[in-house]
Amino acid sequence: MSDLDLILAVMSREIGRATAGEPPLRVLAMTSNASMVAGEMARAAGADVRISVGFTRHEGRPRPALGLGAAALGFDGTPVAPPSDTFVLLRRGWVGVFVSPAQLDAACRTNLSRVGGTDDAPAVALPGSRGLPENNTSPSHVWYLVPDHSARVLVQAVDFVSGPTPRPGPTRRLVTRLGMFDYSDGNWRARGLMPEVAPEDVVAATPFEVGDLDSAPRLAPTTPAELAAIDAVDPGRISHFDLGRPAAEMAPIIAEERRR
Amino acid sequence: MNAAGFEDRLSDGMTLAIGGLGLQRKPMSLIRRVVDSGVTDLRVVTYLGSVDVEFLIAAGVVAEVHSAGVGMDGFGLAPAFRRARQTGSIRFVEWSEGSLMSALEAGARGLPSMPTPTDPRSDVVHGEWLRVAPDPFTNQEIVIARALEPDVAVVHAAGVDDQRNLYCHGDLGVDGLMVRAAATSVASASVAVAFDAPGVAISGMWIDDVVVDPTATWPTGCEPDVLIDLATMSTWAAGTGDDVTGLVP
Repeated sequence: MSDLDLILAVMSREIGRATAGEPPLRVLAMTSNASMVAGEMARAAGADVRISVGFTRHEGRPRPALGLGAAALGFDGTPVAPPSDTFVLLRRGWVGVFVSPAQLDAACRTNLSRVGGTDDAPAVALPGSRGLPENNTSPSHVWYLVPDHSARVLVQAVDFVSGPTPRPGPTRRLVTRLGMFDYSDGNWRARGLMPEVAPEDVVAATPFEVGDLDSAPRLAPTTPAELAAIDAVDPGRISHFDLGRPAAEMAPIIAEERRR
Repeated sequence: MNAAGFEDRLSDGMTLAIGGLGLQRKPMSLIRRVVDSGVTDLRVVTYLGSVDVEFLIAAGVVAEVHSAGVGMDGFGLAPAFRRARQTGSIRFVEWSEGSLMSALEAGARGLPSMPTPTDPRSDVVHGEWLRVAPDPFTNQEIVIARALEPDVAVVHAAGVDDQRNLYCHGDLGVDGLMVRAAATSVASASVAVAFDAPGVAISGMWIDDVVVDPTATWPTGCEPDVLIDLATMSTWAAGTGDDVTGLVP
């Protein structure tokens, strides 16, 4: 068992919880291999959740792959839907999405556009805001997956507002290597700490205030069933590359792919 | 089917829409033909870009990129795009996924603009292509996306039949909107297939010309039959992004 497997387990438990929420999570947006694996883990544990493999197919059975794109195999028989369905589902609150911003700030604003500089000449250009400007304003479930819990990602104020401060919703939760933290009423509060993590560890790594650290429960370790679920869908742990696994370890996976 | 008249549709300064998503179904052979034709100062529209944008920027033919994101998926950031944004050598018009979809929908319907579910407080809402305005019925502030009307759209499909209907196994993205918004659309396809009405993803009435080529997406993929060239992607992402030969087969 690794710490990264525990992050996957926490994500899958969150998906399961949200399927019983109000509104219920019905479709998990596949934003990364980690979210896909967590979705399959939740399904293995009995959660009624579909995995959307893109903008036009909202019930797929994807597999982890380095080049994610639209790597969807084994459809459940659903036809191609109009791309606007993505935002219809989002507005109904039926979507769950794990976003990974480059910056997340004290007001729960997200940034995936640039760091430093100006809009016309960024110091560090990032890919672009993707769906962040729509996610934070929707009534759907939004998790902020930030494995690197540090001042590099968590900041007082983002350099560019991709996603504004979210309107209240069923889930506005940060998941990191240190634990889970909710945003509501203008404040961040701890909802669970990883095993072996002390409140002072969170204080040292977070440039903004986080409440309820002393009362936050410990998150349960990964169970044998959860480990088995990860092994079934991602034995090579490709999902770990979304959680901090060194990119240098991609080489053997690429070599294997070349042999196919 | 080799789209012999493709180059006649191209012109300097045109708006070129590119289908596919990330590292999947990018019509790379058609994009290389765009560069080989000698046209320049292109306005490129791509929903989620990767080596399509990288190749065009490295070839020096891009003036402006419209996109909700350009990157190399699990391989990290796109080096040519990053350098171009940071030096200001191209203009990046940043959209969100929702607003870019609305802009193409407006273009497809012949409307000047269309409301979009984008938060007006986001910094992507800028004056030229996205504006905040009061809804005429509720007075609620909403974001309006200006229509995008590409001159040419290029897309790739897994299969094409003899009526130019396109077939797609994975996510179609916004390719359907692009071909409806564009003045003319050309497709590449991995294989020729027999007509199968329930399987048609894009009707042939939207497609003006087709080329069949199983290598047309290289180095991107067309799952499940054509896999991404991971080694090429890894090498490109780790480099400086200024040598187009890295993306030429």
